[in-house]
Amino acid sequence: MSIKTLLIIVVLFTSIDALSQESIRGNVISYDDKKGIPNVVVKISDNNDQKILKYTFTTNDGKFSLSTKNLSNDDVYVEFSLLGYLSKKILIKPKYDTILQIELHPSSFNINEVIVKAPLIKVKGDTINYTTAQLVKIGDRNIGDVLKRIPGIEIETSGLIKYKDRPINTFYVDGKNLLGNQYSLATNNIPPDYVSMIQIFEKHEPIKVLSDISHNQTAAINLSIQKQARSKVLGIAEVGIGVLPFQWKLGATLFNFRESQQHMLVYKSDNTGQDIISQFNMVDMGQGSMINYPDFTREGIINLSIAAKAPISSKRTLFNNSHIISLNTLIPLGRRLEGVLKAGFIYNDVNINNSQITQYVVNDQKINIIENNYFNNLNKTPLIDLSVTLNEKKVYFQNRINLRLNKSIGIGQNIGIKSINQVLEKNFNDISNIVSLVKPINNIALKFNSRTQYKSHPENLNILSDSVLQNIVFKEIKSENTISSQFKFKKIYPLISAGYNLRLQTINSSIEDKRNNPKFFGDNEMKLNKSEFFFKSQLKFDYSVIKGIISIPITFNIFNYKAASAHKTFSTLDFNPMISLSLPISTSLDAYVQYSFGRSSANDIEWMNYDNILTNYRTISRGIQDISKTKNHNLKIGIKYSNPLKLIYISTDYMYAQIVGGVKQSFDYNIDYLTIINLFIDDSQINSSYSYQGKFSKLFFDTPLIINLSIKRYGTKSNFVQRSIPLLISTISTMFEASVNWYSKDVFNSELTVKFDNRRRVGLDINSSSSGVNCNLSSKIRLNDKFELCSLFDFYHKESSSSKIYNALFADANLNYKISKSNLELHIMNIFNKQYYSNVRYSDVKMIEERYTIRPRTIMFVYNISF
Amino acid sequence: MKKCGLIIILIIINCQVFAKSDDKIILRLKYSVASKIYLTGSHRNDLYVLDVGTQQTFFYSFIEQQRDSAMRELIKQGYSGMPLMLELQERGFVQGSKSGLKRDKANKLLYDYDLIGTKRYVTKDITFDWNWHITNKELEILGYKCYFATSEYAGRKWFAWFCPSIPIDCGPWKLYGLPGAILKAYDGEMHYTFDCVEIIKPNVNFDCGFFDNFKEIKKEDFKKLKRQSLTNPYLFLYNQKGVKISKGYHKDGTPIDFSKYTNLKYNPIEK
Repeated sequence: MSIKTLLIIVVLFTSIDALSQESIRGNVISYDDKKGIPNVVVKISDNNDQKILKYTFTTNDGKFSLSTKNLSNDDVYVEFSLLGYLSKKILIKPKYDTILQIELHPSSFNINEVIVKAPLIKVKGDTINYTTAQLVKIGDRNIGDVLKRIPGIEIETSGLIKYKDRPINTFYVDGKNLLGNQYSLATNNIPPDYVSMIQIFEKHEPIKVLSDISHNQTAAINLSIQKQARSKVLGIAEVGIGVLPFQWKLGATLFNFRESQQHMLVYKSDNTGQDIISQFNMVDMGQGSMINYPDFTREGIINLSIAAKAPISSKRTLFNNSHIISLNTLIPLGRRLEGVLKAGFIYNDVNINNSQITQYVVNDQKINIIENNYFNNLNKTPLIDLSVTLNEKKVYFQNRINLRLNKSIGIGQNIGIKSINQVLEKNFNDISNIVSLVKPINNIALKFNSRTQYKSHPENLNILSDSVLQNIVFKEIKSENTISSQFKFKKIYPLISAGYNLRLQTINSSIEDKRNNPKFFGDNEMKLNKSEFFFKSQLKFDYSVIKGIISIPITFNIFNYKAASAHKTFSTLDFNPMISLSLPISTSLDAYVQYSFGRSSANDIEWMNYDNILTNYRTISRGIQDISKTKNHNLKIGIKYSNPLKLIYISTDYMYAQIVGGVKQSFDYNIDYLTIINLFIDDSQINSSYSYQGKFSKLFFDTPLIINLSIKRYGTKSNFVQRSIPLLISTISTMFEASVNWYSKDVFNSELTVKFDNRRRVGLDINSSSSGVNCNLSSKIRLNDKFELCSLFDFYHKESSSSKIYNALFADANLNYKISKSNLELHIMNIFNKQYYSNVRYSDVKMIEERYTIRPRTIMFVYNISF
Repeated sequence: MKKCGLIIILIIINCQVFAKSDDKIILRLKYSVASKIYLTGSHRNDLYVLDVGTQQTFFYSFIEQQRDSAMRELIKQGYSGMPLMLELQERGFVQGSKSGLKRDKANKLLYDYDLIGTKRYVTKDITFDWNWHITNKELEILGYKCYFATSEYAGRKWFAWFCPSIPIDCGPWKLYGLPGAILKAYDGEMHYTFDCVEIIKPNVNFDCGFFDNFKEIKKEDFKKLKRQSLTNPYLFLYNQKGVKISKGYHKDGTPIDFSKYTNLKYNPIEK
């Protein structure tokens, strides 16, 4: 047999086999023109569960062929479908060779359109750009109103902006850091119309030298100013006069944002209850910021025992006379240096009028103290901050000089068991110099930071009605110096730092009592020197499957305490390692876990007084002359989902902290006059706290709707001593907040916020609790091209376990008339003329029932203009 | 004459490849695309459009297309050079990907477009058959019931969710061949992900003007040039333009360290 013959036989057998193959074949034609339809989906699916068993597509001439060889004997469906034609489905036996001629009828197809309108969001690398115009709603007055709508951004009452639960590290205006940690001046005063784009740099390093090696994971925000707003001097001005009673507000903001220079001048004056002072707040820039600022966290020792702020909008309870002026200017100094001058003055005169019942539970006995309080506090603060910065790829240098002189005079009158008149004077004078230098040498960035600050804080409390005078002078020199080196090795970012911190503190205090009451005595003359030598090694790593930080700080402390009664030197070694791991599950989803433990030692001279200090007219405090040593464990686990393109942010986390040892507080109560607090070291005590929270924020593309939900729950377990009896007090707080913002771009903007909170205390009087609900409905309606109507309803409900129920409804309305670039507004505040707001709250060892005086009904005329 | 002939041939080729089609777009899908172009870098996000016709599909960056339209408009108004770029930036337009993919179903051809260095190239290839394995797993995407399918192509495992109730063979990038539109897809390493965010039925014709004037080259050359341009961008520019770029500045004015832009770990979608 020749090869040719063999080949013919093989081909013949193959052909016979092919012809006998079980298959479905045929062609699909159009009913209209009888021509073959290409690309029709031909699908064989199971008769029972509709599972797709096989499929193919028709060829250009409408033909198809599908083998059914491996299918079972059961009947199957064959479906012919294509967008634009009515589908056809037939039942066949797969084991037969079937030839089909299918006609499909053309048909207009229906599809559920899913239109996801992106409000011009652009994501490029780690930068997200939001076009401001798409986010602005009716009634937005400043860029802060717009910023808080962006999912993932949260603006706290202090003005602090957080992105994905972490403080932003820099706030830029047109790429320049004009305001530093006082960016509330921008968020509160720049109108949204002047900003073309809001940019979020998700992982931003403000120091250029470190941009490739620091692996900074915190965000920065940039406001890109409209082209027409650049170069010119622009501004907004406002004047308002109110009647019944007489009130005023006055303000002007001038901007000049040029390519190389920026200037911003803000002046505001108000007695309408607007908190304009908080715009000067210096917010915490978080760990992501390498830029150092002065430390103004100290609040002093003496206070007037002023009631806590009412848990309602401050504009209802604030009786103020406030003025602020702030000049911020950024200019180039030569080719490479940049100078920023910030100068400001605050004048704030505040009156508070409230009555309160403070209840102490002492050995099953309840002590109630009923008082009517009137306070006046006048605060005058000039401050100046001058910085010179060189921020280049080859070197970073900054020198900052800051001066703050804060003078406040408080007058208090308390009428309760007895009448008390008192005057408190405080002068907080601070001067600081901060130097930072970063220089790369052979791919290693060497950093030097030094902050030196001098504080002189004299305070004196004069209780006129009892002829008691408490004087305290606190002084401190603090010098913090760090040298560190940072580099990048593949995907690992090591940082090694070491340094020396010195703190020299002195306190001189004395109580003078002309009546020689034995309770009122106490003289302290103390010095505390603290030397701190520290070494810290940190390793950041960033692999695609895992990223994290391992940090091991070791600190050796030497405390030297000198007082009339003692002269001690203590030395301690602190060790606080931390590990933080993040697991990127997908591009949008991250899971993380953070754990730290260690031992710390601390004390401040303010808590080491060996003799009495009258911290307010009802409290005498005596401290400990020792160093508190604690051991701690902290755990945090969480998940974050963020998809800027879909404008959604979801996060949830759980935190647990336990502190063993430290300072324990001891309380004693005397109904006639004073509460005494002592502090003492207790190595056996355990305080713990936990919290978990969930957040959901979604801005819809296709529906004019923004939804925000947040739930928080936290609890504490703390040890106290009350009249020599140890107490373990637990508190549990649950908070829920939901807000829905429904709007139509040019017609209305309506926002409903519902807040619920429940606080429970267990352990002192078995179980006490308070629950509150706050509903807030704000609506802004554009009646026509000229008129806009705004209304605000605020409802508060509070209920305590002692069956006390408080309800309060407030309402305000504004009518705005637009004339070209200006607005004429009529405001009616507190329409129902509510006089008081009552509230009840539980702290660790006391229950306080408060009644706050509310600002009366007012009618105001306001005129504002932008130019 | 020889030169003129060459130009005429090139024009004819371009006209054939990029002729504006009368084919109507029957469906438009938008995808949020995240791509990890460099192994060491983070994901880049973009928003792509898939225009689907009866005989062709076109996949391109919506962000870049919007920018391109705005740029054309500005050029008409007399803008050019740096002022043009600044104006685009001012109006909030950022750059999207310059790449695009056209699938000609009738002729079974795939056209891959990209800006490589400073030049625009296109390569033509015969469509390949995906060997999808369909499972019973279900997921609802944008209100549509989708089924899960897996396959492999060019060194990556691919996972796709397709929607049988949108019976048309289409998907993002080169993902196709399933009995329904692909609404979500990703590779095994999650380096490239495609998520459908919008489905509409527009009543417009295809307009491929966005991809005019691309030079056709062989697939091997296209891949080679792309790899070179992305692994050593500055060296590639030097070779392509014949001009050595010795100095450059970032947007913030700091000088570019060119040594860092060599031997970058390019992570192509087709390995």
